Amino acid sequence: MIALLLAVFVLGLYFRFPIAFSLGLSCLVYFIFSGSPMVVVPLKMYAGIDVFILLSIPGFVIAGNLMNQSGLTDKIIDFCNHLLGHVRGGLSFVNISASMLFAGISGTAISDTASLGAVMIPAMKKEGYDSDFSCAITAASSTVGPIIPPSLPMIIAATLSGLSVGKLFLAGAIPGLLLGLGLMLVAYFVAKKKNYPKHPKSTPLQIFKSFINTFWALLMTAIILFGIIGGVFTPTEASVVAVLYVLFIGLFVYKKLNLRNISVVVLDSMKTTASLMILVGFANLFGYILITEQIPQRISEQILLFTTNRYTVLLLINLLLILIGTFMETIAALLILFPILLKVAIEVDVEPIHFTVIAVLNLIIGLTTPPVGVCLFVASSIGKTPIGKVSRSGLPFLAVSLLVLLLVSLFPELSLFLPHLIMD
Amino acid sequence: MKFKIFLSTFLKYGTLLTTLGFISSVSLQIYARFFLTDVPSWTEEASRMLFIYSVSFASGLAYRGNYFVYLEAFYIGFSNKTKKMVDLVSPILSFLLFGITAWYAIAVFQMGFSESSPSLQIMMAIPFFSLLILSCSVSFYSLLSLLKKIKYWKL
Repeated sequence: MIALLLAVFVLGLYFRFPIAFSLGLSCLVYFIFSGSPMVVVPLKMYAGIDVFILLSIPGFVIAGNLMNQSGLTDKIIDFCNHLLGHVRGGLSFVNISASMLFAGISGTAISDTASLGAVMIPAMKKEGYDSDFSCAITAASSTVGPIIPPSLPMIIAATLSGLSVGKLFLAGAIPGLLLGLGLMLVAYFVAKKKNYPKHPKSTPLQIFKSFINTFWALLMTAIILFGIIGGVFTPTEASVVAVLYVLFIGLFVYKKLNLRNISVVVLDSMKTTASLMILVGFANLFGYILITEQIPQRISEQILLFTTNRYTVLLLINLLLILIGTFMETIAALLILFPILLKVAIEVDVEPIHFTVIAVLNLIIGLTTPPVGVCLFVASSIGKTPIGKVSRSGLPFLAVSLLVLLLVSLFPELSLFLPHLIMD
Repeated sequence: MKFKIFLSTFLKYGTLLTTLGFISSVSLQIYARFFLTDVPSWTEEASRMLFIYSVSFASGLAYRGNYFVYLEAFYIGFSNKTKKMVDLVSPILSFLLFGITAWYAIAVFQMGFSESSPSLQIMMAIPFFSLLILSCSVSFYSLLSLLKKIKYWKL
């Protein structure tokens, strides 16, 4: 029966049926052929969505989109430009640092690629950067977002495992910074080699002025993070505070929001959320079947029969997740695989928080892994550049991402230091 | 045509009002924690129910707006003829999936009449009804998508 479940799911994916629907269809077929009561289908779907912490997802998505509507993307880019634009290949640094700052706002790699790419790729091309490099760096930098808090994949992982969202947010901070700095290093060497342009150095007053312009956005990230970590808000409450805060500054400080564009943004954000929640609902059903059939235990036993060496197990998991991340959207892959692999990781004494960071990092690196990484496709379509060229230009960035992944896998303290220091 | 317009308006305002509802409910929870002596016990449950309703209302619109993610990797390698076949089969499967889910959601809805929610003490049929909205709206829009594809079908 499990073979049938997986076969229908894989066929669904192969024939471009939405991932959420492929999960649902495979479960439906399983229920029909196993003779299980079909009423479980809507019930488990409902139970999967009826989780308070999931309310933080629409909160963060609405806050992020409202910020974007308030013209914040341009302000963040402007601030980063004043700060780093004077270095050789400055716009590459602007691209990466804007992604790191934007991370606190959007929370997903694909939306980062689309939002920042729409501004950065044309700007870089206009200044003489190669089109493939501009696309490749935009795709690579957008993977920093989902690991730096607040991160939607971390919220999903917390929902699946019962781990503290605050601790997971903190655990992603150092790996996210390492990834950002690593990408900057590669960008610097490429810029030097290709003699990419640099801007004149901004005066301290210019930097200060652009900081003031971006201040309100940065403050939002601070409120969310310190609110959750300090125990002032739950993640759901923090996301709603973020929405109220953005509404306030969008209406009264930036003055770019009105009732009409607020309703458009809310509607758009809720459609995105609905598509994610149907995925969550069907994944809950899928997970229920896997647990009923004792699949996580069986996989865990098989892997542990093969090896009990912690590093070999982590290597196998890394390879599997990167491969899956290449094909599949991060949250979908996380929903399907995380509960199974977490069990295996715990069996070989990998700390669950450490493992969550590894899993998310793997899946987001997959987004820029040729030949089918989704962010590569998004960036190449924005930059109107062949995917092959973008993939080739992205290889050095991929290499540094893999290096960071290796470090994070080998040294748990990179993930666990901040959660232990601040929250234990 | 009139029904299509009515449905999309209904789903749109349903989404907006229930989203406003859950944001208000969580806001009240935060306000109560800081400024009142006690946090009303029903806020969390009300937020969850309103959230599920907002997801249900938005689902049909999300399907219509093509918000669901899929795997593009294999599809791009298909011939045009295969692509057209796949594009035709996809709404049929969606219609079947959500049609069957809707059918069993009716049973869940009926079960809900004999159960009450823990805090709000309302019949569980009310929150369960959201499943019916979700599955019916997605199956309706998948049917529309199928009819549109048949209308312009050419191999």
